[in-house]
Amino acid sequence: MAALVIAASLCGCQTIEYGPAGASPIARYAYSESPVNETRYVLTITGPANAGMTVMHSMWKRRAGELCGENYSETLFRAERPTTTYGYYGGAPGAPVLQGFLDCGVGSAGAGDLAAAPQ
Amino acid sequence: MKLVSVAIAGLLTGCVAVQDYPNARPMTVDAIQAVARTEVVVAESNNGIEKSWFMTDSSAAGAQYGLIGGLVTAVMDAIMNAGPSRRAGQAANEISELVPADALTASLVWHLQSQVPEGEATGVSLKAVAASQKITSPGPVDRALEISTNYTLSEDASAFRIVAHVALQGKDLPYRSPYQFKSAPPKSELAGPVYRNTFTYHSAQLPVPTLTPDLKARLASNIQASYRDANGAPPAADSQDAKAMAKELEAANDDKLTKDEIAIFLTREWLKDNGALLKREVETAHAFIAKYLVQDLNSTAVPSFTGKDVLLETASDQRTVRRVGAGLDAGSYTSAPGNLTSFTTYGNAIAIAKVNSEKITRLTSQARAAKQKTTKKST
Repeated sequence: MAALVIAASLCGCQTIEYGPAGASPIARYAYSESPVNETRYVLTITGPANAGMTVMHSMWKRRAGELCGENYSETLFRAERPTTTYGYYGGAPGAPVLQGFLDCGVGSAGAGDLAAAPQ
Repeated sequence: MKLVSVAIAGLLTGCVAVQDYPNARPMTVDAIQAVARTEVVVAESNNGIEKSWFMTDSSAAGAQYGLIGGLVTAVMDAIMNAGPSRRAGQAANEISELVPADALTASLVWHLQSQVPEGEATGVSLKAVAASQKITSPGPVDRALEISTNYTLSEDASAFRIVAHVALQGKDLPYRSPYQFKSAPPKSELAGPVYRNTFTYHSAQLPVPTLTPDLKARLASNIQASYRDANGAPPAADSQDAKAMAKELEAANDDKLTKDEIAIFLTREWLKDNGALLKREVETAHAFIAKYLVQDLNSTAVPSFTGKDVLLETASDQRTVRRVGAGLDAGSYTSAPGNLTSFTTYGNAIAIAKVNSEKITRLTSQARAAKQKTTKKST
């Protein structure tokens, strides 16, 4: 672990806990969203390999709150942990993905769980 | 080695193109008019319901230490994989007794037949539906809509996935790619089926059990049962099986419930009441495939690599049907449950029931013999 941290700092790869996917510094819990229409998004959170469902869901809700405020409804449709295969180490659990439709201005699925989200 | 070097060099120089257009091939107005009514050929399910599992493979790591390293890691992998592989095989065997591969094929044929219109129909509609054994009769059937399927239980057996691959190909139905390419289109986009798409159904998730003393005891008894022979006798002391069983019992007694241990219990949940839950999901999946296949055959919408998801249906239990908007899977259809409570993993290996693997072996040797006969005749 220490070696990884040293290697990361040497190569200048900074990581943060939460942030947009594909941006620098790299976020451990990375979000991305694509608008379907004016009020609906497909929201995706990708987490580290050891991330549990509770934290991933709270991250999903965190981003949902940022996009919609308190009033939104969620329809999750994908919770998957793919198996990645490395040539050197064999197979390993991949980064979990939580994905779903987010409808702004409908219901109040927000609030509540945001406190559980790591900062 | 040469090939690997060429591939690496290609990647480094950016010469190897990464596919940036969807796999789906939508119908065109011309193709809809030319096809009108199509026969359907369902490839018989040979694997039946597969049980996925996670296979440890450290051979690459061992190989750098030469022959000894390779041998050591091979033995270590074999020991580590013995339990999960055995359990996955056992789950596949149990499932095939209640939901045999033939029943899966028959169910899909029935659901597709229910989409055959009684009278005249507009656009593309289905005609006769038949099953075909693709091991003995490989190759595309001219002008027929061909469907092949995969049925897979997840690593911990908490979820079940059905994927249907559909293609329509005809000698007089040339494929013209609807996608734009910066330079010449790749070879794969110059021929092949005029229509192609994928339909994926994800079952509802079963709740993952929590570890209790009772669960530990049931797990141990299940492991012991799995090592008994046909007469119910346990493995002989000091045999390889006895050692493997002891190792598994030791692992079962720790305070962790691994995915393949969870699978032992959840497989039973699927098979309760004569496999009622599993059969219901299979029927629902086939109904979804048949319904949306007919819809898609009459759609000329061209998917885009950077498009948007389309929500087609939301059921009262939060299940959604959507047309995937972006990426390689753009244009494909997915039915997924709502209220997800855990992550699903489909491992990197599958086990198929013994009865199915024996059938595949038999059919493969039949096909080989028939091919040799034909070759001899022609020479």
